[in-house]
Amino acid sequence: MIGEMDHDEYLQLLAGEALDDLDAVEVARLSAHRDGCAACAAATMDLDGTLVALALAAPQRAAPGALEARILAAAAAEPHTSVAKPAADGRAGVPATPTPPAPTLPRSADAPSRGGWTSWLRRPQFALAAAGLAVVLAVASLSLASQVSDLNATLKVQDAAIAILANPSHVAAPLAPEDGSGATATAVYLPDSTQSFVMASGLAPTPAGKVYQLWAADAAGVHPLGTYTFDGNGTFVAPFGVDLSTAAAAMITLEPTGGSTGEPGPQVVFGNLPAST
Amino acid sequence: MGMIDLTAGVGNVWQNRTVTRQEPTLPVREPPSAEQRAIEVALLGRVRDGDASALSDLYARFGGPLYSLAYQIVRDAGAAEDIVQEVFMAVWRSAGRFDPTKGSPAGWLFSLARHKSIDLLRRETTARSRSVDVDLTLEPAAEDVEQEAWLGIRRDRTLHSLEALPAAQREAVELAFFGGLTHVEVAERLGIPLGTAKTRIRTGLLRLRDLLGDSVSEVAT
Repeated sequence: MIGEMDHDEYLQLLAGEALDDLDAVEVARLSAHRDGCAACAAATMDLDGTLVALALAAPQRAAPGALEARILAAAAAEPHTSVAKPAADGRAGVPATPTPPAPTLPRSADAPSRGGWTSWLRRPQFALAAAGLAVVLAVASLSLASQVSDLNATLKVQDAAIAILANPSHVAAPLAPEDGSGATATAVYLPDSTQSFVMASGLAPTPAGKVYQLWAADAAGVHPLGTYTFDGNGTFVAPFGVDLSTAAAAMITLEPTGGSTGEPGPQVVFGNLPAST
Repeated sequence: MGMIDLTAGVGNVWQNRTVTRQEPTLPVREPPSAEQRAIEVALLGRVRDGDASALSDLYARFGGPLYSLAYQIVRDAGAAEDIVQEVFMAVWRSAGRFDPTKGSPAGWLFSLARHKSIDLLRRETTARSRSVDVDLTLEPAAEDVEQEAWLGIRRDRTLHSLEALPAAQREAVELAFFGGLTHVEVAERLGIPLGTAKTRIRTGLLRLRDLLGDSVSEVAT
């Protein structure tokens, strides 16, 4: 567990964040604190400038002359979209800055009257096209609504995890990387409740056809829990949804889409949990 | 051990150099001001909206420095090219992810380049055993004389500030930033506990921020 921190300690966390050296608990503590701290917000900007200065201290080399053309050709070949692509099954971890929805188009002052539109739509040759357009718009609308819904769900999960960290009764147990995954994670939970989450840093994006699955182990065996995809950005936060105070260990594995109900697949992170008292 | 050779000061910038002047679309000729940053934020906004010319303008500003940083970390020209392309494609795909409350456009771009460079090192089997004797010898760089001068001034200030750090902090910061090492790897490389490595890196970075003072503000604003 982490006690109260003074401001110098938050500054240390900011410096760690600047070089991506925070564990999941530190990320959550810093996020919860910084929202209301002008000094930390200013220090964040200062450290951004420090890293830019360091980057510019690298010996400057001329980039190959053809590189810009190569980049622009690649960009031209790729349809541009201004909306971040959601994870395949809509259960992503933490997205980066959400992209605001596209503004609605203002109604033209000299648009056809309602009667004009309906009479136009009644023409047989346009009716089919209009129906198709309606389907496309409906699908696009559902997609956008789905993204907003996913974002709200993600924020709720984050808020719930942070609330646990703010509770002095919480338990935090580290989960160590397995097989060189490079990820580090922490299981945080309130004993004798199902309020339990994993918070992981450095987790790779979910490979195609795979999902991350949470597991908890107790004397009765290893229990498969939720499956999630993750885009690799930020901190992965997901609920265990079980009382971890009765569990002996927790882990994240990589499984085929749909998850596993039997033998766990390759472990990404694993950790023993402290015995409950 | 991985101390970076900082003896190659900016004085070398002007030696034995044949420079062909070229006029970039939006050359970086002076310390970034609030106005400069606003321009860069606006460029990202145009990229977000699908304006390829804004991507070209961003390249004119940052292509060389991003390539230089990537090369410094991965030490391979072809890989550095690929990384710069990945950075700009990431910007093209998701410029809307830039959050001006968390940093500058420059900071975001350099962060992307550093992450992608480190990711590449992680994918290489030799990453953990590779040399981290980073060579900072200056080479012919920017084709724009004024841009090169500006970068030289910036670099000089930063190198002097780095030199003012306690040696242990400086070494740890350099290994983490330019060497592309994780903090665990820094600890292993220096033969010190992980907690000590973290403290050296974090304290060193904060001290560097203080030493850079106003010049950091110029970059950050």
